[in-house]
Amino acid sequence: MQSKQILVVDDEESIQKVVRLSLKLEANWNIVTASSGQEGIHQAEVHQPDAILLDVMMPEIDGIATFEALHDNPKTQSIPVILLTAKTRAAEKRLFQNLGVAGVITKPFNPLTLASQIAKLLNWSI
Amino acid sequence: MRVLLVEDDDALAALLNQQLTDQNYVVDRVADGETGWAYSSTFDYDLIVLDWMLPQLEGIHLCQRLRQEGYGVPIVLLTAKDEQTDKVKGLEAGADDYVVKPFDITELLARIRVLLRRSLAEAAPVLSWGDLCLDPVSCEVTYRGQLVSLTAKEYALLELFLHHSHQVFSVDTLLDRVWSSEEFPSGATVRSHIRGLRRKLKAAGAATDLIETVHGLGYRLRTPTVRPFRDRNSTKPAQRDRQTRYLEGLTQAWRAHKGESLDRWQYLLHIAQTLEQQPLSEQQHLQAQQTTHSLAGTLGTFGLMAGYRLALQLEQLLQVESAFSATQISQFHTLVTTLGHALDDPPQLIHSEENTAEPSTLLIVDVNNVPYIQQLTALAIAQGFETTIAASVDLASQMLTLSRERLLTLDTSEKLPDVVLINLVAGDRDPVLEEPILQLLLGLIKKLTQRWPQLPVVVVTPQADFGNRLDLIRRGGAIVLEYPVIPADVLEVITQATHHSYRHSKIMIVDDDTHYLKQVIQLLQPWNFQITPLADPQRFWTLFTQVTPDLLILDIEMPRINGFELCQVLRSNPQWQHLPIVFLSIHNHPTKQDQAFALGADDYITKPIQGKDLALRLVNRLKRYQARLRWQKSTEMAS
Repeated sequence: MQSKQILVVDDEESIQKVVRLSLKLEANWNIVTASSGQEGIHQAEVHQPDAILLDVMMPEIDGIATFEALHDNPKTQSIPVILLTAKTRAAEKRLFQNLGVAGVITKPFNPLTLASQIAKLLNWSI
Repeated sequence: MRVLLVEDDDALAALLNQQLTDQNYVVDRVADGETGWAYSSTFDYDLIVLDWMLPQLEGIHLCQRLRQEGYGVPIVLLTAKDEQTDKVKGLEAGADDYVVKPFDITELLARIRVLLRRSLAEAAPVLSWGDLCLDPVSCEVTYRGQLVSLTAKEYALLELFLHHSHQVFSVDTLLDRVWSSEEFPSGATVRSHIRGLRRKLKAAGAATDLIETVHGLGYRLRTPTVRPFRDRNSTKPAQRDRQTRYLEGLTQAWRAHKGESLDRWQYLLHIAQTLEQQPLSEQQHLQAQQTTHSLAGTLGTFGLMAGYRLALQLEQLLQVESAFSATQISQFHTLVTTLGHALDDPPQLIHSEENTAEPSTLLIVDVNNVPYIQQLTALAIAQGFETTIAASVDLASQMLTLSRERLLTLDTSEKLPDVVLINLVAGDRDPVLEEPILQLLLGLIKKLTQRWPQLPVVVVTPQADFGNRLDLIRRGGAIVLEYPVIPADVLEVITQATHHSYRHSKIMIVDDDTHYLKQVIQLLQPWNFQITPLADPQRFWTLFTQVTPDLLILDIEMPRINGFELCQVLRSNPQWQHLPIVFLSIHNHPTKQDQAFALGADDYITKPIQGKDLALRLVNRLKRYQARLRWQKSTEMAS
């Protein structure tokens, strides 16, 4: 299978690293990272990744606003978006799902099955 | 090196804290003896600086107690008392050194260094790795008994590797740990010393690469004997390899980013200190909330689960909009301190169970807001207990639904904790509670054990002599722990109690009267057993083998197959000879009962029966059955 490219948008560099490590080791996907919503939108336009993994809680433009901007942008609207959210926000999960995201993954995630979790949400095989 | 500073004088504490921090000690400061006890019995310290005159529990008494508990860490006693007799008293209480106020701070620091050096030398056992031995006292290294002569730096490197035998050290870390700040060596110097060490070890007969290079990461000890791990039930080799690589990457990333989490923790510590002076501003509150949220996210991602849970708890505390109560302030402080210690944990792989398994729930009844219990609470949270505190007897009764008149309820939302901890300690200075409140709590224990006989109750009490124990047992059989007992030990007892909890035990009931089946299910509903009802005895075997219950309740008279026959069928099979079987019948005739026991019944209960009594009898059977299973398991393991 052709290697997928995932855009990871998270303001925490350490979390970007862990996600990169997980996806690389499990599925050998290529990872592009962005540290803010704005940078994420830009990277999505440029790289046209296969999917975007988007943190909900970010300063300035949060994950939801970023998702809405990606959704309204003709260049990025067809890219599936998966939200990453903390367990404390589990109550909001349904709300997020109603926005039209491809899925929601709760942190902390199991690093050894993160790629499988994403693949399942997007009907990919790995 | 971690130092616990117990000093109530804020100005002196701030000065000492600063000086010790400048010397690279990590300092936890507390202002009273009781909190000092809670901290020292929970966390590992390399040394304790203890003021003599302290509120709640005096320094000298704390010192005595620590020594009585076998606590061997060096203790420096600070005091304004300069009499010879006081000095003697201090040293007799178990202090290692005694400094009279006002003192020269450099002298205190020097004494601390001496004590630390001495205690490290005493505590250091001979380090070994296969045939390689290092004796920290004589500073000798041998390989298969043959002396290996090393330079000071080579020795220090080897000692570090042996102390942390599974850790990979980067060149930078080795520079930090082995070379002092006055020296300015380069990475090449480190590599040259490693080469020298390898050469000497090889000359002594060791494998060339006893010090292994981990590419891109640094150096570590190579495992002396490589024994392939063959466990068919364990993870597959490819996955294991991925796990190892992931962990290495995770450790490396954590090392690079730990500083950010430490900064966030420092901020929370600052917030905890601010809270003690004044309420938080809106801006501070918001920032603290964001900090705990980010910290929880990061720690969870890196698998520092204790820290993750504590950060989550802090985040929850901060969700309260109103100003903090005194209890919440001290709770916040304790959680932050415990979090600081949790940041020293290594990163770990998070297994999916971590996210899905329902945590054990613990209800702590503490009417006095004792620091000791706060520390225990923080530790329970760190270990993953879902912990709630009831600060009054009324609140506890409400939470445990003791105040309801009707014992029967179909309210399925009612959820009991897995364990209840009741604190009967008033405080350290005078640990015995005042009589009225003690009576209230004892009353609570009685009601609690009567209402929920299966619920484990752990009591921490300063009065645990035979008479008091007997009294507590008579009130319903609780697990009694005598105070002072260290929080970790209490939690261990609690963990065991949750494992032996009889809630969720699988109970199968066979009765052809469906109306009565419903009634029994309702009766037992509050006890959270997993109940499988069966009205048609002909389907017994299929359902029984599927469910494999922990206990079986049988009616006697049923169409086609009666209860006695079912009992006989089971007892004829060696596998089910010890399964608890309880008859539940309207017949109270002795011959029926004799017949039941002769066929192998464990109990015979006559209808009608109250829910509580029925539950109690079932729990008794389950207890004995599970004790038997445990015994069986242990003898199997022993043979």
